[in-house]
Amino acid sequence: MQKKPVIEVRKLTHRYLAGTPLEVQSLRGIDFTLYTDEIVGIVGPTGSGKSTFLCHLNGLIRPQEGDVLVFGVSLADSRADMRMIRKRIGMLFQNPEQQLFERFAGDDVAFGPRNYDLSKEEVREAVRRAMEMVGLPFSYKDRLTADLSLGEKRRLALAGVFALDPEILVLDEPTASLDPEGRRQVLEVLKGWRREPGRSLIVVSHNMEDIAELADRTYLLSDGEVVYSGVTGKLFADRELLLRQGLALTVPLQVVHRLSQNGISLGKGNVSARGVAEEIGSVLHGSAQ
Amino acid sequence: MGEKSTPFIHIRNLRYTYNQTAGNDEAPPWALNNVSLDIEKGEYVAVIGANGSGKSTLLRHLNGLLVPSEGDVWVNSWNTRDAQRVRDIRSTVGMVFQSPDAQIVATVVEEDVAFGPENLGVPRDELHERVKRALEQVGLEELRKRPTHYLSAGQKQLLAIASALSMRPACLVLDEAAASLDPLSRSRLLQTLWSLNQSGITVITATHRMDEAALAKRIVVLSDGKIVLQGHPKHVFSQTDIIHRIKLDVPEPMKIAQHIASRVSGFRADTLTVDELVNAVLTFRRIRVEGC
Repeated sequence: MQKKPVIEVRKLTHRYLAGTPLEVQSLRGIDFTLYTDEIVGIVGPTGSGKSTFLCHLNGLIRPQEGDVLVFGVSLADSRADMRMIRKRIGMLFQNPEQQLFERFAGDDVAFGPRNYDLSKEEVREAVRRAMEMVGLPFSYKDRLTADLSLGEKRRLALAGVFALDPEILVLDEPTASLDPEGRRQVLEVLKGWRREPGRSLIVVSHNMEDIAELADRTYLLSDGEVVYSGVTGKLFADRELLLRQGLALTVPLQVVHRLSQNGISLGKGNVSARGVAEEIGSVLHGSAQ
Repeated sequence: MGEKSTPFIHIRNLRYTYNQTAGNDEAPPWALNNVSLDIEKGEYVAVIGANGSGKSTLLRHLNGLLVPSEGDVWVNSWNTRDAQRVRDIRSTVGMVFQSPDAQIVATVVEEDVAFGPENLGVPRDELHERVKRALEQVGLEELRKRPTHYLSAGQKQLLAIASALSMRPACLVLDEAAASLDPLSRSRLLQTLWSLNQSGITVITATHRMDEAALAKRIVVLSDGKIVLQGHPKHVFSQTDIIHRIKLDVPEPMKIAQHIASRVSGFRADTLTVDELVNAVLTFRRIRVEGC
């Protein structure tokens, strides 16, 4: 099956405060492609340009140099139909619960659809569907936004994005500051969402476990450049690169590595806690006999 | 009264509700419900609990940002209800919140770090030294001239921590301060906290990362506004049933160990760190091989 690119970024460069003594170069010639039906992870140290990059994907920042093509439309072109693009790309920044502004939860989810000329019934239906997708009961629409827990607010913010039925979802740190249960719920919602054909997802995270669990491919940014792009599993196998970039190895990978230094080699490719535990179990059983 | 000295932080029967005006006839929803807790000088305490369990509410009582609806909180024997002592309490207990934007006041990095001590009238030379040291501790020295609104989210968080450190508080309270940090900044922060604690500073931190909590000397577990469990990390996380029931998790090295133990009898399931787990595997194998 021929995969179709939905976002293509070419040689994207961005400077903040350009032309002043305080100029900061944030992006240096980024090339990036997102295909339909995939989840792409973006990792990199703080200040490596991740958020600046995301802001280019729906035109919050227009390209200074290079180009961003979304559904084939160049965002460098000032006539690009941003309204259409922002409907098709749902975007959620860090700590989106701080951006909820309606008194009642349902109104916050309905805000997007109400701005797109839908009938009252269609809005209601969009809200109902979106809340169902994130696992919030429809009755929560009448709750006070302020009374929801952090995990519920985070899912409500996601519902607000889902309500516009986007084809691409762009999320910055979707699980940060959630408790383990809240994190699990958000990950399940995201996996469920992308099961429908024609949807793709970009996830920025410092949580390597999130990336390992979600992303098919991953880009590693460092100081505004792409220093790795490819299959996520291969990135995690490149211990030197990860450490050089200040990224953490997941616990199972650390265990595999430390044991191999001590003469116990486990099969490669096992990156889940359970998988590694099973293998260690077998090794210990073997040595006991 | 000949009483022995009270603990550094002394909390008795603390109740708090955000809904003070709720109908008089019904019980208000308690964000904290009858919490008593003592923390001694020099302790390293992690507070864990699901979202909404009362962690932030508890921490906000430690420097008088919130005062109890019922019960009392004393810091250094000062009651946080005592308006005369608010200044003393706030310069004793430094706070770092979850969202750094709420506490950055200046437009340039080093000015933000200098803001607190400058207002205390710290002399110029010392001020300089404090700012330099605080920026080094969090690894922001190269960005000291950067306008604060051109920092990334993680860098803002580090700045908020540096600005708390420049106040040289006796006690540092951090609410999810590492949540938006990259792994390197996070481990640098944890090392900084550890060495601050070694130098005698009391560290109290709320976190969702169980591996982070495992570094503390004591863990306090909150659920529905109550302390349901506390003690050494090994003790706390060995109560796996309770931990799971209140929607938390055990640190990953322990999860792996528990899984191994379920298959290999006699394997110890209480390893909190990767080091401990690896050592447990090596020791277990050596004993089995040599023992047979």
